[in-house]
Amino acid sequence: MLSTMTTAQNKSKKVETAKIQTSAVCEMCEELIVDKTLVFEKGLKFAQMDVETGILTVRYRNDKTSLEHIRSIISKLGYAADSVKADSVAYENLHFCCKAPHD
Amino acid sequence: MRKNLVLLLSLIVGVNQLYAQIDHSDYEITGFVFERDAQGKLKPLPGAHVFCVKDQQGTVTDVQGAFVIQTDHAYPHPIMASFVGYESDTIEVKKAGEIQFILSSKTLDEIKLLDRQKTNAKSLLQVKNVEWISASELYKAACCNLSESFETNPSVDVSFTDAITGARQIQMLGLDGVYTQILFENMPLLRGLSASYGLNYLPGSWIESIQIAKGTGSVVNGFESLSGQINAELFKPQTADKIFWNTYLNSAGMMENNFIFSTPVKGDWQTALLGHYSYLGKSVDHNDDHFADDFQTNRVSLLNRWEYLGFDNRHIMFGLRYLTEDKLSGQISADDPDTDAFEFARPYEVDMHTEQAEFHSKMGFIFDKPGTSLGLISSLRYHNQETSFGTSRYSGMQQSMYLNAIYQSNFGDDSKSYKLGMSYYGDNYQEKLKLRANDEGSYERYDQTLGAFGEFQFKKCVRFSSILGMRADYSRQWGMWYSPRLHLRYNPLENMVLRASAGRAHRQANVLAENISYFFSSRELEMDDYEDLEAEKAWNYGFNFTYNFYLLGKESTFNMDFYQTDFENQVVVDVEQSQRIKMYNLNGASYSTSLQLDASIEPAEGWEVKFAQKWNETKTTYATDALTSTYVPFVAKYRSLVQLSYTSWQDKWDVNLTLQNIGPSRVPAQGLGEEFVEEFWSPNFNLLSGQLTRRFKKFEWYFGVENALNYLQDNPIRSVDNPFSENFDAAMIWGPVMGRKWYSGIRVRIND
Repeated sequence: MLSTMTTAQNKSKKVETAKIQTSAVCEMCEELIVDKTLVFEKGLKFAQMDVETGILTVRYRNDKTSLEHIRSIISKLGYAADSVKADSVAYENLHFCCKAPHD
Repeated sequence: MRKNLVLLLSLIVGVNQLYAQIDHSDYEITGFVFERDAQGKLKPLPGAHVFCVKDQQGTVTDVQGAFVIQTDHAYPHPIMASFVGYESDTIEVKKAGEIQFILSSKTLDEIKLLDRQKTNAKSLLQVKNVEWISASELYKAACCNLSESFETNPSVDVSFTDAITGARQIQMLGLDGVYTQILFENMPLLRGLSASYGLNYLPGSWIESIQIAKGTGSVVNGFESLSGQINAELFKPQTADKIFWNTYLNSAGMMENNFIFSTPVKGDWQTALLGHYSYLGKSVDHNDDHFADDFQTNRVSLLNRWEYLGFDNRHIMFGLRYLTEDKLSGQISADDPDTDAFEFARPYEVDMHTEQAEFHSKMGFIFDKPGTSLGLISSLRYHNQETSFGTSRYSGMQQSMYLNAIYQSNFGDDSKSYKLGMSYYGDNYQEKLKLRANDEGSYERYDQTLGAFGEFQFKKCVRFSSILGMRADYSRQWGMWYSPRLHLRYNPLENMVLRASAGRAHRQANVLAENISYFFSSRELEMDDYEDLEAEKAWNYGFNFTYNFYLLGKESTFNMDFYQTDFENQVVVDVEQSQRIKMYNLNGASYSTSLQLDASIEPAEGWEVKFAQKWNETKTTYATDALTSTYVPFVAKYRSLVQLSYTSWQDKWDVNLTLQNIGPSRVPAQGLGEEFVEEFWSPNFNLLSGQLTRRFKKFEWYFGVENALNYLQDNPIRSVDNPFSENFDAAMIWGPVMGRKWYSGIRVRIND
């Protein structure tokens, strides 16, 4: 709590846009990541998933959250996010359709 | 999840089997349109509009969601699928073959979409003038019950009926709600004795969506619907959340609880239990007239629904509903410590007890021929109501049976389709009314109606379609009733539609139950023989124009409705004379003309502004002045509505403000001697309501206000200090009788 407050003071309040490469492959993944999780994350203004490529576009307030934090949330759901690996336990619990890219 | 996948696989297999028979030409694009339901399963979406973006050639999907488009354009080829209440989708087709659309529904899957969804929509493709309201729109207001769910809607007006029961009634096209056919999943919901007050008995949290059809309705649903049809779809075992719970508390102390449980049962059965409980422990008097403004209430309502999912080509659903309600109102007696020491030797007390029980069932058989099915609907209802007010008493009992069989098929393809069927209505009414020292009157009726109907739908091309319906009913008392009905739709442009309709409808009035409010007075009933009150007959015709356009890059809508209802016969309820309530058959003209203009625009992402203006001219010939027709009392001459709403990304926040201006309505002359009040037109007044909703991960919280400007009708009760005097009258109500009310509540959904 304290550390987030200090970072908030250091940085200027700004909405940043970023793209995160995730291992999401289907609409079910999209629903889990965007509709069920990120919507309710503090500081997140917008998130859109491209299911074809797995690229997640996010807009967030850098005083309330960070890109690292967003990546760790995605990881905890069982998906890789940029260089952050998927949480292995969560990955095992995913629906099999969400696990491997399918054609 | 596994079950979903099996379903998906079986669908795809089914698709292949079906399409193996079709010869693919180079110029044919085939495919399916699916939707995802609340559980994430894919379901075929019939009736979706699929068309080629280049030449606007298109078609509509069949029952299996399948479509075929013939085209001679070069590829690639953008094909678009759209359906009211769903997000449109476009697929770029590179070669002839099969494509698949998955449209996201706005009702069932409301969190799915990135764009803000419209929660209130009018289809451009439907022949009938139907407005569709989703559960998300209903969540914009507290919507404790069906009548309140229209408070943010300009098409249906909500009014108070008397200062005693606080019941709300609706008006549509300038006519009392009893002239609107109110259905629950196309089965009668409010017929007979519950026509006036029954709207309060359907909890808002049970409602999945509402369709409002203005003008004459479909013959399939019966001979009624003089001014329109309102159909409420409730949550079904398949569409309901696993667990849903809603609790509500308002500043008057009223508490409401609603819940829904749904679960699969052994052997492919799925069940849902819907419950409602509301409670207000004591009567509250805000305006110090010693009459309760908020009433002691105790209401329990339960609905248990069952659905069988084991057959592919059959559908079985049935349900049981039970309701019990006790209300205590009237003069607050002096021993209540909360009120000042005002002594009543005999307080004017109002005590109401209502009980309803219902069984309904629906069966559907789908035949091999595409678009062919048979539906069987039945419902059995019991309604009992005991009311005592002052020294008067009313009791009403109704037993009803309804059967309807509908066969649906087509001539070759779905451009010419038809429905044929038969229906039976049996209603037994036993009513008793004792007014003050008068003798008790007994009113009994046994209505039976057997009818046959046919409805033919022709689609000439995408731009033009029509529905012609004919109904013949044999009523045991009144002989043959013929109800012809016609609906036309024409799209001169892709985003513009013109509709026209005309039709005739019949209805048997239940004069006592429908006008019970007027008896909360010192009026004496004057009626010809009860058996002589004839069935009501009316013609309704009108047109509608809807234009969707882009303003500032956002979809905007302009809509115009003009409807006229002409009565051939009506049971006139006449309160024009002091201390008299007369009921007789219409002798002269009676009509209602209604014009409504409304527009909605989106000034910025997430914002919506809605304007509506409505004019009504509703006149009836009262025997006291038989030469000319007079304005019907308590129907506002005009109404306007401005609504501002904001929805943030993914509906996290939802703010909604509705301002209504209600124009003057005629209040008849009333009273004798010194207390005589001349006929007057009520003043204009404003009603402001608003609600804020915040969606969290596990629940939703809402907070709102009704009648924020705290506008109240002056002296809602005449001779309020002396309720047993000759000038007492609690039914001369043209404005709100309840003041500002704050409320808050939460909704919880659990699906895992």
